[in-house]
Amino acid sequence: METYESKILSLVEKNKNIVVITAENRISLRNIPPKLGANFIDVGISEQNLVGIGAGLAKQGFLPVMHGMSAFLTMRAFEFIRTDLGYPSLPSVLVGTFNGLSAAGNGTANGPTHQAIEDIALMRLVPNMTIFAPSDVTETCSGLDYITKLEGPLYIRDSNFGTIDIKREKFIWGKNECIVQGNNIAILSYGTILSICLEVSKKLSMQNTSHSVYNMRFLKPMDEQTLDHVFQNHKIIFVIEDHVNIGGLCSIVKEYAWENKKSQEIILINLKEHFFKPANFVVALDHAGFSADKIYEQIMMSMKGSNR
Amino acid sequence: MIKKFDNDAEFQEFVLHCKKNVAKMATNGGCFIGSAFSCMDILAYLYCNFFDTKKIKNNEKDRDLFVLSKGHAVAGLYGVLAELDIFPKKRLDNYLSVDDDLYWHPNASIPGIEFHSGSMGHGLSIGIGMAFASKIRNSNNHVVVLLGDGELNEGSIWESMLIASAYKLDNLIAIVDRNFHQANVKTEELIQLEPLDHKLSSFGWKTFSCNGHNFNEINEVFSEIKDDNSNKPKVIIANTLRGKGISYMEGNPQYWFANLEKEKVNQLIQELNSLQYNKK
Repeated sequence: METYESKILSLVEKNKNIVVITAENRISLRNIPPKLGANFIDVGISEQNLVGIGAGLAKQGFLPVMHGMSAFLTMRAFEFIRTDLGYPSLPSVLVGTFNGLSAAGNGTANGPTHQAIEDIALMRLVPNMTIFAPSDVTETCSGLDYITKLEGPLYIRDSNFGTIDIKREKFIWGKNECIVQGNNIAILSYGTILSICLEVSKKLSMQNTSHSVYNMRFLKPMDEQTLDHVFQNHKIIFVIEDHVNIGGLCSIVKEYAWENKKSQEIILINLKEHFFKPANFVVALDHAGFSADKIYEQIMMSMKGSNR
Repeated sequence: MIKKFDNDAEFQEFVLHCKKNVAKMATNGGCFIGSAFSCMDILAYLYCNFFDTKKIKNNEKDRDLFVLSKGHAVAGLYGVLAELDIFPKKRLDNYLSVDDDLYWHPNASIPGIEFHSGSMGHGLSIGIGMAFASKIRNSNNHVVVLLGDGELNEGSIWESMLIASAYKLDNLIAIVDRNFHQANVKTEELIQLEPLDHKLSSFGWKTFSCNGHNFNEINEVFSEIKDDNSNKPKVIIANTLRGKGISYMEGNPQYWFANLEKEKVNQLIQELNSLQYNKK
């Protein structure tokens, strides 16, 4: 199986302009630093410099792939990202780990200091930024194939190091995918929560409730074609994300609906304005209302309350 | 034209020409003239005597790289770049016009500007990235970053100091424009930086100092740096005066920035002319 490490290593072997940088965040880079040689720089725990140094390298024609924990990368270094990568639109990659309800590394045990639950909102604010939130490592690796073609910065919300065992559409850069095709209700999600939504999907299928599940991995620029499809074919749209209510996929869908004068019912399941209760992943997920059972319950309750 | 000086008198004459370019930007919107005049000699020296300016002019890949981290002093840099015809002097007429990119902070679309700046505490990390790039490419160019002393309040600068030292970036030179002033107050009356040389040395940088307005001292420091084999990043504390050369501006906190009446600018240019005349 291809891993993040093996993918990065093969990319650097093919393209010596790629420089892997980290702010001493090595969760996805444990074994490769010695193999990367001069193409690896660990700047220590200093996210602002991680991005500033990446910008200096990018300006000189290198492609920096910068690693940090999403909370510190997107918040501590926000101004550097906005001013030094976004404004000049420098081709560059920011890889954030431990975001939302992070299954990877049992990140939910960290507590509020480490919770990246506003990262999508922040990165959406950065001009020229692309946002990619893959749901498993296969998808992450497929996306990494495109980094040498970037025309500006890319934020990867790298949340899940496992793989989801499903049949998928061929990966197309910038394109979101419909994983389950039905009608009446649509479920839109990304990242860690997508796999939970697929469990919910099984429960809905058992009840013969027709529905679709969309993987909204590309959040900026938004793949409007997929949203057109969602709104053309469904009456109730559930948007489910491990992110605060402001600025993430929930906001994106509301903005789309307003701009396109859509009147479908949109139901939002997100973290509202709450830090979630820290615990082991499965417990934290359930407590925050994102276990398959809890999401299923919410969908069924909403369906009862809906007149559509 | 590319110039190289071997004596103070001719160098000072050149700097006066550069300062006259700056004076013209000190009206109709104004510029950070005090900050510009503080580092004007250093900037002029870099482009005349230290950098391979021909490569900069031709935008060659292995050219020396300069980052003005104290971006608000850009009028000083533009004064030098225009005087050396790195961009046409006529272009300064576009200052603060929406038809060009000449404003209070550097923009990378202007020839000679490697990276935009303005927000304090970014430039040294950008310079480190450039120094890494040169190391990976085995390029022998220099990367020079000019910092304000007030800018040293920013924590990111000290992160950069640690990183450059840890990676032995001996192709990186930082210059601190040590005029003892920050925006509104004197540095030592707010967040004390002294003993600055000890602080910088203890962060692992080879530390030099000079009178930042004296050609011979600046020249001497850069000769030492060229001969240095210490594998350390270098830092020069350039002791300077805010508003250097203009009697009423020197060390005057009010002249960090100035937006002068046209008549005042003419007086300023006359003062600079008289300095030139006196030198002759």
